[in-house]
Amino acid sequence: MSKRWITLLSRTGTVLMAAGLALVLLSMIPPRKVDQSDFFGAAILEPETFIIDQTYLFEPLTPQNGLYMNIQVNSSTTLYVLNLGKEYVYHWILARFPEIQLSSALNASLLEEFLSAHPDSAARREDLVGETVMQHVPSRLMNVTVVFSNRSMQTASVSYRGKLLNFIVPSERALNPAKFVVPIGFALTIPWLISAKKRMVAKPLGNVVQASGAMPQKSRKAEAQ
Amino acid sequence: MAKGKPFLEILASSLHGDYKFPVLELLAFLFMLSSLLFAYSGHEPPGTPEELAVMNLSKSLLGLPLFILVMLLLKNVTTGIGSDLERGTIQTILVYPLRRRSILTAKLFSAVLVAVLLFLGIQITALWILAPDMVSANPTAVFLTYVAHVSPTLLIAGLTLLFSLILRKGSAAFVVGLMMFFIVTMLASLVSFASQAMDSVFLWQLYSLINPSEALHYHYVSLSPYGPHFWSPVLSEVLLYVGASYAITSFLFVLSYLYFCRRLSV
Repeated sequence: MSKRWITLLSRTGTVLMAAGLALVLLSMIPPRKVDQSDFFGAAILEPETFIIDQTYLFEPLTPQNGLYMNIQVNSSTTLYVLNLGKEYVYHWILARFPEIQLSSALNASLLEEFLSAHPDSAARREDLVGETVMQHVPSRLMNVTVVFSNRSMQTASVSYRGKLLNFIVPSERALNPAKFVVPIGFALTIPWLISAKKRMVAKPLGNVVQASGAMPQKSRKAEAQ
Repeated sequence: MAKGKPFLEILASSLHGDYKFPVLELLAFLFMLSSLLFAYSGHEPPGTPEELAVMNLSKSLLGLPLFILVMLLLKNVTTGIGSDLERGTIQTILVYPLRRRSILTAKLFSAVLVAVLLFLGIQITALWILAPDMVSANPTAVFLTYVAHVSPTLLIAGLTLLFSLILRKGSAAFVVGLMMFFIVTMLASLVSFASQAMDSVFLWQLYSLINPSEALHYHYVSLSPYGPHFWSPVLSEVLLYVGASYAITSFLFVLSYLYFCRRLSV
């Protein structure tokens, strides 16, 4: 491989490594809490019912503003984070079942119906047992609705605390490309490292030749010129 | 000697001069770091079209890196070409069996194209890392935002190149380029004030010929139910301004080529 190609590849590699290292650095910066974004709630879920979180989440989340929740349940419960606003969910339910009281727990089959009518609406689904910590940062502007569903035959108690977190860039999103970019960048610099090592090995030998009185070929040529 | 070899020789020497190790690496690091550090996906009011949110996010990423790009282009154009003229090293380059326009192309490829490609590559990667779904759902908004914002930067680079060739002094051309940059930046505030005072969009239309990002901004803001509707250019009008600004930029580069090929005596 010619010296020029080696230089081009190695410089591409070092640029990739530099960009990757910037991502690694950014991934190490922790998120900060959005002011006055704390919310909490608790509910008793009868068997085969679900509730919609009535508390804080009225503003859309952004790729830099994520939802953090600490949830405790005493029985198997499912958490859904829907990428639709509460208003939309309420309107959809009321349009079909106008007699329903939205403040109380609703029949779980209604949620199933909603999810089958909106198959892409569940941005996250998690089966909760005991204490769970959940963090959700969307990759676009998104209205969010948190739903707890109890599909079991036992009554479940749910209590949760949450807040909004503000990220420079979510660490996973920064680290995932860095995991590829940095090794690829390093691999591209390997030919240059090898040739640099060869040069370093050759240099002392050249000095020995010069010391013994014989001139290296290149120097002789230069002298002739 | 193969036909392309002298071109590559000049290109390689220009690249070496413009981006000595670790300049390119530091730029990549700074572009990535500053792009994401200043990114702001904001609280958009409900009903905001996603194109507007994407444009605002892209604009927040552009701030400091765009300034770094302007400085880099000014430095490359004035030290790469202006200083060659100033020190007389251009005579050595002109000895190559190559047309003058090819020599200038090789120089500009290194000074402008490599820098702009690095900048755009890192910016769009950073944007995609931050909000992949927003970017993939609105490629037109992302493309137009970058095309519109890079345009005045290239215009300043073109002007600086022309001044470098005419003045034959890299440092003087750098100062002129820097002044141009500040003037173009300040004009936005001046035009905004004057347009509202005169209750006319004519100044905005005129300014958009050199900086079409303003027309794009007003276009997307006009799609929002909350935005001001002082000026609501349609997309085809915005494209016209973008095209006009690139035509002006191209004209400046063509003038530089003509001057370098026909008028410049060394």
